[in-house]
Amino acid sequence: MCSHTLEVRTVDDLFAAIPRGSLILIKGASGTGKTTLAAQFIYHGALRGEVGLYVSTYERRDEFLEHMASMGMNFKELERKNLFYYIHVPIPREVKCLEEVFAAILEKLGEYRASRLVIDSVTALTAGVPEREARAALQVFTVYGLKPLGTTTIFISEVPGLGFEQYLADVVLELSTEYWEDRVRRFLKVQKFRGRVVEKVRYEFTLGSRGIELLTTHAFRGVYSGTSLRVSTGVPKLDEVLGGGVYRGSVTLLLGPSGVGKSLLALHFLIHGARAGENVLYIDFGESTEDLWSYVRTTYGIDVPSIEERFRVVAVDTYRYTPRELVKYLSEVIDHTKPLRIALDNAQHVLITYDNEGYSTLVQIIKLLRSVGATSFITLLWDIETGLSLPLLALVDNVIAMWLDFSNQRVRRMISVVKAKKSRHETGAYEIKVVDGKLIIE
Amino acid sequence: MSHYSLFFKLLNYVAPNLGSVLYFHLKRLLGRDPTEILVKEPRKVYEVLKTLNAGDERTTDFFIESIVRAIERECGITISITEFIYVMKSNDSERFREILDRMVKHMEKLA
Repeated sequence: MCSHTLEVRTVDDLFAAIPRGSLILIKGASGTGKTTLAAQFIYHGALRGEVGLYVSTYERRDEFLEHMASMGMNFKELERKNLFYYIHVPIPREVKCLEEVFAAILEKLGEYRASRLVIDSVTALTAGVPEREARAALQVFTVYGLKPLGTTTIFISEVPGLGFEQYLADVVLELSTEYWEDRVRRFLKVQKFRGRVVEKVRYEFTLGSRGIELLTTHAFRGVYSGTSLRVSTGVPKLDEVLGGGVYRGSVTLLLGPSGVGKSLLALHFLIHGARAGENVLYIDFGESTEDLWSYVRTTYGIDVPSIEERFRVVAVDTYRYTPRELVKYLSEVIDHTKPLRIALDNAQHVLITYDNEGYSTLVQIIKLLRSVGATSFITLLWDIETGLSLPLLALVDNVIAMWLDFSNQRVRRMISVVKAKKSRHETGAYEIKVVDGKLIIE
Repeated sequence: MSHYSLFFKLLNYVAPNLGSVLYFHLKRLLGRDPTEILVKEPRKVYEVLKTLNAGDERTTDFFIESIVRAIERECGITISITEFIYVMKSNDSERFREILDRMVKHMEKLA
């Protein structure tokens, strides 16, 4: 058995990992995305010059072309270049007719010099003949017909299907849906991959204008990516306490109760960068964009248009996304804005919205922040009196705790650096004040 | 020589689609009418069958044996499997034609 593990980020990666000449079975209930996935297999192959043949028992050619054009796949153009052929076949009612269909498919593969084939669906194609004969015909067609040709083939199968096709297939991909709130979550499961060790077997995906896109996770990167450059938080005393600011590319977690000044500190950090000419990104899971700008204007007295060009603000309603969709969306926003500094405000909404997947989603977001190399602040509503045993602390580079001190009949905002990796930070508690729009630590 | 094409038709009784698939590959790989090659150059047909069985001789022999047994069953005749395979491999077209004729004669009755 091949010792390579299967690690894919896109559907194209997945198909590229499958050896030429394999038989792939895509199975799933109606509407799970089987046709789109198979179409992507043909489309990506054709873009690389591999001729594809699509045999369907359902959609007519014009319906298929239109359907796939809406997914960003221009099969008409591929047809024009003789890289794609579409055949619609009626469902055979006798085994002799089924034999003729299989023989015709083999002929067409030779005639078109096609190296990729899709049969959509094998369940429908064999539905009109006794199961025993359908299985035998399918086995002969696959083992003695397709395999010697070296054709990489996809059989689409409805669930439950014949069952037998799973045994024939080298790779079995199962598509399914689940419901989260009022949204559909789609999953692709690698059920079988002959000759390969598959470690990760289940991928969430979206089905949209770009076809099927896997919502893959980010690999965890080490602290700071090896940089020794320091970045100012915009608060001189905090920089001093941290041992000279934070490292570029690091992730800092700001913990504290509501009203203590977490968002203020995160904004301070961004405004400092924007004023220095850096692209910065503020992602808020709580407030709307309008609320934020008025907050910045009144708190800092800042002329918003002077930094607006570099200061991107995104308000995210977590309930609009499934956990993986959220990470993908953030990834796209970051990719689009290319910020050097990122503040992720009100991260507790991620924990609340996604419940038992909240923590793992936040971990994915931290991995994403690391992977892009921007210096990031995450604010999280947290009562530090309940302790600091939050497992998340181990994943971030710096932890800054903030709390309210009610002693001596007045309220004081307090701050302390709990953790600052690879730094000689001070451990004292300091009072924070806001004077003329500036955050001052005494 | 057209009656030899019955041989391929009968293979579809062995397993649905088998005759059609073998006919397709023989034509593709040999570039001529497979019926004619089957009678004149059985060794070539054997080589194609071997290719279809991923180059494995033992599997190919077993594959031929399965076919011959099915023909025996369908036609009610007895054929020496060892001889059938030997004749094919040694390209003894005359002897192979005799065996085929006997098979086809029974097949015609079935047809």
